[in-house]
This record gives sequence, structure tokens and C-alpha cells, in this order.
Amino acid sequence: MSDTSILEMSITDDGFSFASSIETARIVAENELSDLKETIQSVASLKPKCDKLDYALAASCGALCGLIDIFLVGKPGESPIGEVTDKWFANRTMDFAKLCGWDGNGKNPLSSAIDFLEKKFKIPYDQRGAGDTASSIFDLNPTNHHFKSLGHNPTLLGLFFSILDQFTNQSHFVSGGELISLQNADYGFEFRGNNVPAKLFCGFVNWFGHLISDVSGSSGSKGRGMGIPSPFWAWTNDIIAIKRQLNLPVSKFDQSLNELALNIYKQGFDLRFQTAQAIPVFINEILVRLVYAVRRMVTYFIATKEETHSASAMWTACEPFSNHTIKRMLTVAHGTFCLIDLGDATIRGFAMGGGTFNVSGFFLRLNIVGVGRFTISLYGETKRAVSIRIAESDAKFAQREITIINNYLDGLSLLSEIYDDKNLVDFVNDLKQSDMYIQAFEKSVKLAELRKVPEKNILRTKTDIDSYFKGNKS
Amino acid sequence: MSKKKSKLKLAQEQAEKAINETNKKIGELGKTTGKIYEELNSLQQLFDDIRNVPNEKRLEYEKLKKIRLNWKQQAEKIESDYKNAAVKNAGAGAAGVGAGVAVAALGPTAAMGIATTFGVASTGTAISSLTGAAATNAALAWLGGGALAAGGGGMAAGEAFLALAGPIGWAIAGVALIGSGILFWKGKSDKKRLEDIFTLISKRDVKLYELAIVEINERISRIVDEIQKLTTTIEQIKSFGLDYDLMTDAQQYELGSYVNLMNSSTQLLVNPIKGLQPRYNENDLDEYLSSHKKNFDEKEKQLITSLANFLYKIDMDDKDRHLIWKSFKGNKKFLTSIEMKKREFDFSIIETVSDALKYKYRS
Repeated sequence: MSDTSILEMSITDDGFSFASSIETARIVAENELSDLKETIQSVASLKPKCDKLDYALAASCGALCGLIDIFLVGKPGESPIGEVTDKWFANRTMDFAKLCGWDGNGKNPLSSAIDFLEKKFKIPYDQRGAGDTASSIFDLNPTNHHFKSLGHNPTLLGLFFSILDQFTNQSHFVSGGELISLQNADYGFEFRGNNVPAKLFCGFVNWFGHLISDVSGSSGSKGRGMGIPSPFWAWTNDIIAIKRQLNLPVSKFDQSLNELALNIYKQGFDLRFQTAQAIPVFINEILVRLVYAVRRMVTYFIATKEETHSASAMWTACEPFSNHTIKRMLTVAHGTFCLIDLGDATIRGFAMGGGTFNVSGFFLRLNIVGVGRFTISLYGETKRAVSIRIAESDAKFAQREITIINNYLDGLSLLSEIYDDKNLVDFVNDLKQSDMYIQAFEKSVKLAELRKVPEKNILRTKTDIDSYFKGNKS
Repeated sequence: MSKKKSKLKLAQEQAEKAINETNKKIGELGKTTGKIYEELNSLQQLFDDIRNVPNEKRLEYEKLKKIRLNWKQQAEKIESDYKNAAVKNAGAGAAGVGAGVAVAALGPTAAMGIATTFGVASTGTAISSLTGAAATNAALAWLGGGALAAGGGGMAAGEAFLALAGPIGWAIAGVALIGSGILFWKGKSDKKRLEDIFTLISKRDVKLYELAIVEINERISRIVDEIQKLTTTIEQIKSFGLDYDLMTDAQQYELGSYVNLMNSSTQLLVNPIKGLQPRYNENDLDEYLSSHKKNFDEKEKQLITSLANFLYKIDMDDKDRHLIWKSFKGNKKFLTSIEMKKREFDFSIIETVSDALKYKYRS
């Protein structure tokens, strides 16, 4: 008997190779199954995992920054943060002037620095409308010339017109919905650079340097001065310039938008104020990410044992970037911020208009940077919602495929039972050992049973064998 | 939209590939079965020589050989039936109904492979749920369906082989028949739902063909192994002499073992390949009907069985079921093939099918 079990063991050992094709098929199917399960699980990873506290914290951050925006940013000229940004820009202008060789002397260092830069980065399109020809032809004066002059716009099109003007000694303005160009704008202007690439480079440097010279007002300005327009509102110029150049009709809407932009620019909404507006938005962004990270960090330290702490695992647990939870929190925070800002701007718009709605009053207070940031968040949310929908439909289909694969796996297990006969078939080898004929015979009976040989055809005992051969089987 | 369509197309192409592969394997199987059949006959001859069988018992022992004979006859019947069907179909093509299936001649080895694959009815215990005629029909439907799925026959062939009514052919022909109707669905979401169902049906079939291929491989490896064993066995028995009474006890046991081996090896010829068996048969339906105390006539039973095979292991919600029902109901060719009028094809049929399947999954 012990012989048999040893023999069976050895047979079982190499029995695997006999069933290999069923086994391979099973492995392949198991892999398919785990792929499908992954597809189903991937839906969860696309969804933000915010709890109520996350939402509450995000909304609080947004509300706090909204209050900062109302009371500390406000509108140009009445803005504590605006004063800080004005000063910051003035200092940067002086730094830049020093970099360019200004000696830093003078009673009024800022206007001295600006004066230095204006001379250093001379451009042909600097008609201020104070006493020159331009003012008499169209309504150009020192308070609006940085806005109307395309070369003074910190936009791509501004750069284009600046270089064009420097090459051709022209000066381009947008005024009253028209694109106006002055020919031979400045007789004293000479474009530096010996070849086209050099001239292009000098053109760029001139444009940039001149923008710096104007960002904190001009050398002669009193008080805050007129800086350069904010890139967002300057686009209203670009729309008109492009449409005029392509001979497309400029709509009333374009024109009134442009007028609105000019109007609020005149009231001090320039690049400096735009920067001031960006500050609460930036604080909001940082605050939410910080809150997210700190909350996750605390959870991490509570949930993991001290001996298993690792910096990389902690970073993975609380990294406040590129995950759906932080993105949802940011949407909520910026949304709250915009809601408060919008409410404030609307109320003040009505208050300024004394019953009617004062549009420029509204836009002076509307935080364009916040609206822009919120738009980006909303775009992301929409994109994610679409991808979640697709993933969910994929997951539903995967679930149905799992049913099929499971059915296949059931079929395979049935096959491995039916074809588990290697040690039975080997009774032929057992017979070569003279003392094992009875065990071999028993195996042959089992084999016949496994193969579903009709019951009455199976020889089960010695009597069955005798009757089969001697003819007395009943 | 185009992406979804390609998913269905991909699954259908995979199904075609799997069918072709299965057919190739069936051919291989046929080659080995021919050899083992000869070995088994030689062995039987030897046993008969040893056996001192009185005349009156002869007849009974002949029955034991019958299983193998059945198998051989089955193979021959498949060969001749297939030829007849091919001729008929080619005739239909000539008459302008449509291009006939370009049928390659079915040789005797392939016919043997097919006989084994679809099982042979044995005397006594039911090895296969299919009766002899049904097995032939299934085999023919398989061949026809295979040709159909490979794009050989088109709709005309689909109709011709639907008449054969084998559940397997049914599933293949059904996909071709109803699946082609998807394009005419207007609603985008309905269309996607139907496409998903047909994609799943194709994927399920691919898995069943794969299962069949795995099993055929196992079968072939056993047949090859046992041909060798039978050859050595024959040599061994010859050394025993012809007188059973003069043999030692060990030799007699050995002889008995070989009888069992002969019968076991014979089962390699007649046990059907599981993957190509109908997933749902009349017995399943009868069980369901008796437990639910329902009654249907033969025609309805056949229809429900076929549809149950068609929708086996396809998860569907109510909307899916309604869509499938509508797409069947709106298909004239389908209604003609089941000899039903449009208003007779009630939604309750689909409900019964899914109920019956639910009952089957539970067991």
C-alpha cells in the first residue's frame, strides 16, 4: 500500500504537465479577471474623496479670502493691498533701472528711474497726447495713452505691434473702435540692431523695457500715475485691432466692452491692481492646499504606527497636488470666493449707480483673477465628470464581462476534474510490476467511471472479468 | 460612436477567429480518432478470440461494440448529410436566393472529429443530451454557422441553416441575423445597449470556443497517449495465449483492466466537447417548468430553449430585455424561421427566458 502512495505522489508531481493547457488557460483567464476588476475599481480613483469637513474647510478658506478681497483689495485707489503692490512695482522698476545702469540719485528716485528707462528704451509709439499731434486728431491724453497705444499692452498682440512700429517707425492706437496708425511717428527714432534677428531681439527688449518704465506711471505723473493696462482687459483692444485688420465688422458689444475697459483703466485698474487682485486668490489656493495637506498628515500619523512612518508614504498620503480631492476642494474654495466677490461687486455697483447699476463700478471690484481661476476649476470638473461617466459605463460593461469569464473559469474547473486521469491511465505501467495487478485493476475501474463508461460495461470484480471472458455474465 | 462600433466588430472578429481555430482543432482531433478507432477494433478482436462466448450470448456482446459503431455511423452520417445540405444550398444559390456557402468538401477525418465533438448518443445512459439526430444537426449547424460567421454565406446561408435548428448554429446565426439589424436603430443609447449585448454575446462565444479548444487539446493528448498504450497492450495480450482458463490470476486481472481501458478509451470518441454543448437544454427547461407549474407546447419550448442559449450568461436589465424583444419582433426573417406572427411574439417569452435562465444559474 505504501508503494502505491509513493507511486501516486510521483505521478501527481508530473501530473501537472498533463493538465498544463487547462492550467495555462486558467492563468490567462485569471489575469483577464483582474484586469476587469481593475477597470471597475478605477472609477473610484476618479472620484474626489471629500468628506463634509473637507467641503466646510474649503468653503471657509474661500469665504475668508473673499473678505480679504472685499476689505483689503476693494477697488483701485482705495486698496490697502493695492498700495503694497504699487510700492512693490515701484521698487522693481528701480531695481530694473539699476540693472540697466541708473545711478539711483535724485530727489524723487522713482520718477528719476522711470525717466532713465524711458530714455534707455526709446520707442516710436510713445505719443502721450500731451501737446503732440495725436491729441488733436483723436482723444489721446496721458491718462489713456497706455491703454490705447497697442505697443503699451502687455499682450502678445502688443508685442507684435511694438515690433512692427519699431521696424516701420509707426504708432498704432485703438480709439473709438478704430485701429489708427501714425506714419513717421518719431523723426528721432532709430532702430538698433544690424540684421533682422538682432533687430527683432532689440525690438523685444525695447518693448519689455518700455513696459517696465511705464508700469508704475510715467516720470512726470503725480500720485499713482497711469500704469500699463491689465492683460485681461487689454484683450478688448486686441479684438478690435484683429477685426479691423481682417476687415471684419466691429460689433457694438466689442466697442462697449472696450470702452468699459478704458473706463476702468482710467480709474486705476492697471497691471498693478490686477496683481493686487491676484493676492487673495493666491492665498486661497495656498490655504486650501495647506489645509488639505495638514489634515491628511494628521490622519497619517494617527493611522500608522510610529515604526512604519516613512517620508515618502507620508508625502503620498498628503500631497496636495494632482488628485481629484484637492481639485474638488479648490473648486469649492474658489467658487465661494467668487460668490462673495460677485455679491459685493453687485451691491456696490448698485450703490455707486444710486439705484441704477453702475457697470464700471461693478467691474472695478470684480476680481477677474478669481473668476479666471474658478473657470479653470469648473473646466476641470466638467472634464472629470465626463471621464467618470465614460469610466462608469466601462465598469458596467466590465462587470458583465466578469460574468462571462467566471462562467469560463467554471468550465475550466469542470475540465480539470474530468481530465484528472493521469494517475489512473498509468495503471498500464503498474501492471508491469507483477504484484500490483489488483491495484491496477482498481484504477482501471476508476478510469472507466471518470470517462463515464456505461455502468453495465464496466468490469468491477474478478467475477465480472470471468463472466466477460467465459460467457456467464448475466 | 465609432469606438463602440469597433468594440462589437472586434469581438465578432475574435469570434470568427475562435471558430476557425476550433474547426482546425476538430480536424486534428478527427485524425487521431481514426487511429484510435482502429486500435480499439484490433483489441476487441483479440478479446473476442479469447472469449469463449456461447452463441446465444453473442448478440448481447455485440451491443458492447455498439457504442463504437454508433460513433462510426455518426461520422458517416455527418459526412453524407453535409454533402446533401451543401448541394441543396448551392442549388438555392443558383436559383437566385443568394450566394451559397462556399463549402469545402468535408472529408471522413473531419467528420469523425465532428462526431466526437458533438457527442454520440449511446445505448443505455445518456452521454449527451443530444439525440443522434440532434447531434448531427448541431454538427451541421456548427459547420454552417462557422461558414456564416466567416462571411461565406451571408443571409441566405443563415436561413438555410436556421432550419437545422441546432442551438449552437442558432447562436451564431442569431448574432449575424439580429446583429446586422443594429445599424438601423435610431436612438443612440438604444443602439449602444444593443451593441453592448451583442458584444457580450460574441465575447461569451469566444470563451466557449476557447473552452472547446482547451478540451480538444486535452482530448487529443489523451488519444495520442492511449493509442500507444493500446498498441503495447495488444502485444502483451498476444503473449497470454487464447485460453482464458490457462491464464494466471494476475493475467486475468490484467485482461480485465484492459477491457476497462478499451471501454474508457472508447469514451474519448463519444464524450462530447463541453464548450460546444448547448448551455441550456430541454431538460433544464422541463425542470424549470415543473418547478413553476407552467406548460408550453413543443414549438414554444424549442423557442425558449434556443433563446436561453442565445442569452446565456448575458447580464441584462429590463431595458435591455425590452430592446432585445423589440429587435427580435421587428425581424421578419427571425419570425419566419420560428414560424410565428409578429403579434404572437409576446414580451412574456423573453421574460420566461430570463426567468428560466435565472433558475438555471441558481442550481
